[in-house]
Amino acid sequence: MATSSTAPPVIRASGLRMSYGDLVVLDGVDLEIGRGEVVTLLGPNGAGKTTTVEILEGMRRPSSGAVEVLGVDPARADEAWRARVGIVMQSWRDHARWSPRDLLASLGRLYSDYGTADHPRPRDPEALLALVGLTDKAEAKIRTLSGGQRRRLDVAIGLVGRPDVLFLDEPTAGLDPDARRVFHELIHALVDEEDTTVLLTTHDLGEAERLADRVMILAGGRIVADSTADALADTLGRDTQVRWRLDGAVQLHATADPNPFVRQLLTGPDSDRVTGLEVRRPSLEDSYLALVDQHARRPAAAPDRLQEAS
Amino acid sequence: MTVIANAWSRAWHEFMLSLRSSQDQTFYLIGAIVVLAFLWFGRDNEIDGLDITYASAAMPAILTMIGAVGFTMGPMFTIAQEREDGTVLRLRNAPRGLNVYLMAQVFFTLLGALPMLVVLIVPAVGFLGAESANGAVGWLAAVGFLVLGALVLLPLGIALGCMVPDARRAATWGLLPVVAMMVLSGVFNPVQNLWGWLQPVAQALPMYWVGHGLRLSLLPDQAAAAEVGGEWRPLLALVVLAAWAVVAIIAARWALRRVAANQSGSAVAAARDAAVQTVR
Repeated sequence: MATSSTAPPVIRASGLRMSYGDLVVLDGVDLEIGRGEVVTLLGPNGAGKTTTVEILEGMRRPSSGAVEVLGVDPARADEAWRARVGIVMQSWRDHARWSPRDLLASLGRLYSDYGTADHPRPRDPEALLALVGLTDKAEAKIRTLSGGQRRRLDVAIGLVGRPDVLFLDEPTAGLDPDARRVFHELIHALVDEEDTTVLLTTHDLGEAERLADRVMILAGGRIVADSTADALADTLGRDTQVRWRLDGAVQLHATADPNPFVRQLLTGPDSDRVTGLEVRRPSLEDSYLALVDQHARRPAAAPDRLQEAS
Repeated sequence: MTVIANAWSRAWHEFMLSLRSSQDQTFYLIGAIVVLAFLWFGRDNEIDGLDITYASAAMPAILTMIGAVGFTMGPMFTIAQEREDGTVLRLRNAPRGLNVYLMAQVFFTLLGALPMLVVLIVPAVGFLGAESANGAVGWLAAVGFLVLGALVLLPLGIALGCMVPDARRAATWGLLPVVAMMVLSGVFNPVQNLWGWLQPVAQALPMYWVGHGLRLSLLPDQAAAAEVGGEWRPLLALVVLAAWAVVAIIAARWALRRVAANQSGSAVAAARDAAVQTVR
């Protein structure tokens, strides 16, 4: 789903700066996210991902810059705004004695005044438990849940108010691959059903690739890339690698457009001797590492921002 | 109204969890045993010039203690703890969640005082001869002063819980004002025995007036001779406590707003990491 050009963006930030004393964490972050978009914020440790998300959630005030989420400055938002925003943060140890079912029901009730006929709030706790696969743990004490189960409960709590915007800070950290896949399916279902706008941070490039309509990379206090995962891989103009064996000896060729080269290789005079052909497009990881390398080390000297239309 | 209903349901759930928790049961039991043992060993003590049992004479002090421990220290520790584990932040993220949290804290603290009162007062009255010199009216007045005391002590506990830097330090400097107030309050030791300049200070503190109110409710009239000025001062007790209630409630609201403004996911995570490092 692409941003519609007429509807105002759900999340908008311009010129966000954040510094603690001499330490500049954000140095002019601009972003716009439309309704129903799933956007991933990638970046190395300490790049300011959590700070950015916390500003959008209204938990921190930026040193300067303008923020709007659902048309309101989060730092001044009211309770009705809070009812429309779901937040899944890192690291919780709260409500250890409660059970998932009781906690979801109790927190869900806080949203009941904010529902409408076509947008009922809260979500049914039982349906949520089933959605995140915790039905058989519904009565367990939360402190007895495994790390992955706690994480899924956190996601369920973020969803209980049926939010219009959902912020997730490293939601899959500590999940095993299976739980991770379940989580990805959950996010896809959510967006298809409800048109929820999702912003999530992650270290996991594969996750960004599978999940997001758009990937933003934060490095050196700025958004240094903002496009689809595919477009991003091409952004740096890196060549596609063609690799094959000729009589068993490995051959390599780098080219911007592999098609004519491969056609010629497979129809040419030596084609009978070619084996083990591999064509490898530049991966998101390659682009990511190159970008981070380029910007993170020299935060001030990075005016050439890469903007790619999606 | 929804805020109150949600807060009550949250408090009731916490109360039920607390009743079922062996940790909390132990706390009630040890508290009861200590106080009852104290009353048992002192049961033959004569009370100067008064024809009442030792348990009756000690009852006002015991009830003041329950007020100080339950209403001030309880919420202080709970809030310091729940700021750190993310509970406060979790509620803050929900609409009107912080109001619900605060009000649930009030309900829960009042509910939580009930088991303590039951395990203490039932045996004290049943076996140790504790009684009110003024009959049922005396007990009712005592409940009234306890509730009024709660209106002061509870917001003070909430404010302290918001102001201590972390849960570990709630046990050190968070506890200090509470203990100081108890020592100065004249509950265990008449205010007249303090240095002269400290006496007016002690009488400015709410704990003194909670103790005074409980004494005038439960002790015979002759006991007034031991009070400052040799008389009961019920009206002054009500006025001072009401004024303190206003101050304490304003302080609690201010402190909680400040906490909410300074909380974020990364702040909670940082506090947790600091706590883990100290434990190791």
